[in-house]
Amino acid sequence: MRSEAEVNHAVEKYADMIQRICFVHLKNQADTEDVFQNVFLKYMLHDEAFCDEEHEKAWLLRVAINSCKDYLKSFFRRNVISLETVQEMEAEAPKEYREVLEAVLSLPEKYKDVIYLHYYDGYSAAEIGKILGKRENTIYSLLSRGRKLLKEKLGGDEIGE
Amino acid sequence: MANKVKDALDHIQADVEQKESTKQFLSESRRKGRHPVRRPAVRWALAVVCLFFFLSMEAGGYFWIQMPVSYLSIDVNPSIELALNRFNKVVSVTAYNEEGEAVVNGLSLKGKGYTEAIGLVMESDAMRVYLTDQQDVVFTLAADYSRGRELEEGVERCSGHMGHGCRHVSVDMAVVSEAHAHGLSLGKYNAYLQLRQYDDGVTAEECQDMSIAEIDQLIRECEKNGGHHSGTEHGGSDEAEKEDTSSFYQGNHHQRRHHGHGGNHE
Repeated sequence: MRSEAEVNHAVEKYADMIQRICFVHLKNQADTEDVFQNVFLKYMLHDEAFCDEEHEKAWLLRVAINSCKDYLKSFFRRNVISLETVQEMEAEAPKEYREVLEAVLSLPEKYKDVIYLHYYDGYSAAEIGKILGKRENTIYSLLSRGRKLLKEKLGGDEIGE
Repeated sequence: MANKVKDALDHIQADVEQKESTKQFLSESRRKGRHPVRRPAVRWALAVVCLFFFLSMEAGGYFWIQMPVSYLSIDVNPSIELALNRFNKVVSVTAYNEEGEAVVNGLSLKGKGYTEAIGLVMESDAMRVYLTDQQDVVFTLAADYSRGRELEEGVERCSGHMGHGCRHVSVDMAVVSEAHAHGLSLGKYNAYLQLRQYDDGVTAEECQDMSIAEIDQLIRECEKNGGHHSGTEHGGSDEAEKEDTSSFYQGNHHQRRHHGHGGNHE
């Protein structure tokens, strides 16, 4: 088990990243908090050393993405989520970004991770492939289709390459 | 063009309160030793333990179901014995002579209820030739007290409808191993024990080759002639009597005889 200092350091360092992953997938604060805490609990219990900071970050990204997917699949979540809570976090974002966030959140699940990892974290298709355990070509096509969907929603050249 | 996706997502941040509550949650989890996430080795070990448990249960359950807990023999001239499990289903069939072999060959009795098995045996072509007025049919039952009464009623129903001088006898479970040790079915061993009360010279081997009607005939002759009871007359034979559980059983068994197609009991 990792030391308290190490875990607290990771919470400070990666909290925003994990929060964004959870937000993209779960869209409401209560669910986000559950998964958020669970990701760091897994980190605390993960004894194996990381090669470097990038390895640690990629591990946390993968755990967060998988935890969100597991949570979405769970019977409880599927049956209790209410329509009112879906947009609650989105509404808290500044007005000028709300449209973009809305477009990202409305993407089908399979595009969300690649869009986030590419546009926010700047990962290449090869790196995303390693994190998500998918082939590079698959990532390229997911990125391409995801980008197309975003363009359709936002119009024109809103999205950079 | 500015990447609006990055800018928009940049505004999603974990607040201080959330970070602190997470740290507190992790600290409490550490203190309570709450580890919902199990390591693969532990998970595998648990899976193996569960698998072993279910296999043991299955094997145990199989033996529990297959274990004979009561016995029913059908003796005319053919001598057949059915071993029954705790659900009164046939788990094994033993023929004690060639005539018995001829009857059970071609019959599928395993897994059948005991009354159905009796019906199949008694209605088989090989058995029918023995069911004459000159032959006796003896059903002999050995079961513990809890299921003895139910089995007895079932056998009584079957034998009551058959006629042919059918009768049924209940004996103690301890007699089963003695009968098998002498190579006789329960019914024939029981008849042998009765005959031996009058004639201590008779052997189990001799009874093996006799039909129930023949043994009964000998018993009746001995009774008529006021035959001697060796156990009381000869000290030497007392030893043999003491070793037999039958000497205990003889006072405990009961016997019912049906004449013709009616349900008359003696």
